[in-house]
Amino acid sequence: MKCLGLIFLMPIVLFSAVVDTNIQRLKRSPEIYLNPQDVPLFYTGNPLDGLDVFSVIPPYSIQSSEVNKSIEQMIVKELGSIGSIIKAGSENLAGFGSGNLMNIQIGKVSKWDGGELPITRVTLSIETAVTICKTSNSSNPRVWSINDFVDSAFEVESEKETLGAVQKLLREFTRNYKFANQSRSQKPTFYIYTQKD
Amino acid sequence: MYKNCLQVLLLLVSILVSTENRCYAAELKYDSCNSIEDVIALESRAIFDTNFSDHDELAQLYVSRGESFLLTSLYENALEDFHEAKYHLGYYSQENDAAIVSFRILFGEVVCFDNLHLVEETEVALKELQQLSASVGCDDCLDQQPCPDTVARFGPNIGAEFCKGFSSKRLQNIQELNKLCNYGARSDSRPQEGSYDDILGPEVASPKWCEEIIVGLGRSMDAIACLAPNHVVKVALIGVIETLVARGVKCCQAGGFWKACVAPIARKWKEWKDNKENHFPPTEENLLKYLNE
Repeated sequence: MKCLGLIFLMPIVLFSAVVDTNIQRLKRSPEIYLNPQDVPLFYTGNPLDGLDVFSVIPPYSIQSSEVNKSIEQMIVKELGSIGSIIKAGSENLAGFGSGNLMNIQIGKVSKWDGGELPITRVTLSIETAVTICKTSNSSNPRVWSINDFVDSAFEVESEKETLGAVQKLLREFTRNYKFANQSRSQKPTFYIYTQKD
Repeated sequence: MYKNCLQVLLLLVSILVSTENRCYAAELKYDSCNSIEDVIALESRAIFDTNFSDHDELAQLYVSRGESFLLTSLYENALEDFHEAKYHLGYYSQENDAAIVSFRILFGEVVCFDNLHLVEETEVALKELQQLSASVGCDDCLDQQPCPDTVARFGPNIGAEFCKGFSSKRLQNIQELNKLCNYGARSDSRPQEGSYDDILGPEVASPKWCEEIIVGLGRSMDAIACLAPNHVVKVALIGVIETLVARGVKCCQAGGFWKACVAPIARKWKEWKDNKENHFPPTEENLLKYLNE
C-alpha cells in the first residue's frame, strides 16, 4: 500500500523539482524578457540551446547606408559580447552551412483589411533545420523570434528611429542565448553578411 | 494594382514570348500582322483550318493564341486556350518538344491566374512549373553552354528553332530555370575546380552541409523578394528561388560536387544582393535585372 502511494507521489515530486529549477533559473536572470506573445517560455528544449554557429542576414529593407552601417556596428557590438564575429563576403558561404539563420527584418505592418498601420515592425528571428517527429518531414521553421514596434510609419526618413529597437532585440537575444546555454563553455560564431556602405 | 500587374505581365511575357519565337511554334507568317489583334485573327484562322487530329499543330497553335490573349489582358480566353493546348499535348508525338510546350502553358497559366487573383490556382500552376523545370535537364547541363549544346539537348530541329527563337539573353533566362544539373550523375560533366573561384569553402563537404547552404541562401533571397511591392513580381522571384532551391537540394542529395550544386543559387543571391545595394530594389522596372543577369 505504501509502495502504491510512493508511485503516485514520485511524478509530482519530480515535476516540482523541474519547475523549481526553472523558477530558480528565472529568478537568477530576471532580465530575461519572456513575453509569451513574442518568445514562448521554454521550460525544457530551449531551441537556442546548443546552436553555436549563425548566419546573420541584415535587414535588406533599410535604404540609408548610414543606418545600415549603424545596424552593422550594433550587430558586431551586441553579438560580439557573447561570441566571435566573422564579417563574411558573398563568396564565403560557411555561415550558411551551419543551417542556423538569424534574420533581422524591418518593415511595414499591414491591417487585417489590407491597409497599413502607421507603425514599423522590427523582428529578430532564428530559423534552423528541424525534422518534425510526428511526420518525419524536414523543415526550416522559425524556432525563436521576438518583435518590437516603432510608432512611426516605415519610410526612408524614419529608418533611423528603428535603431533603438534593433539594439533592444539584439540584447534580448544575447540574454536569452546566454540563459539557454548556461552550461556550455563554447562561444557561438556569427557570420555577418554585411551590406555595402 | 491591376495596372501594375499588367505592366509586369507584359514584362514577364516578353521574356518568354516574342513574335519571332512564336513563329516557330506553328510556322505562321506574322509578317502581315500590324497589331496583336491581327495576330489573334491569324492564329484563330489557323486553328480553324487545322484538322482536329493534328494534335502537335493544335497544341502549338492554342498555346500561341493563349499567349496572344495574355498580351491583350484577356486572361479567361487565354486560360481556355491553355486548357485546349493541354488536351492536345496529351496526344503529342514529339517528346522533346513537349517539355517546351508544357513550359509555355504553365508559365502562361501562372500569369493568368495571378492576374485574376486566383491564389490557389496560381500556386498549383507555379508548383507544376517548378516540377517541370526540375524534371527537365538533369541528365545534362546547360550552364554556361552555347547554343549548339541546346541543339544537341533538344534534338536537331527543335534545338535549332529554340535557339533561333530566343535571343541569347532570353535563352539564358529560360536556362536559368534548368541550369543546375546533377553533376554527380556523370563524372565527366563535373566542372573543374577553377570554375568556382567565387565559392569559398572546403573541397569536400557532406550533402547535409551542402543542403543547408542552399536552403540558407534561399531564405536570404526570400528576404529580398519580400521587398517587392508588387505581388506578381514577388511571385516571379519566389518562383526563381524555389526552383533554384529544389534543384540545388536535389544535386546535394545526389552527392554532386558541392560547389557546383551551390554555384547557381549563390551567384543569383549575389546578383540580387548587389542589385539591392546598388539601389535597384525588386520592382517591376528592375525585374529584368533580377531575372536576367
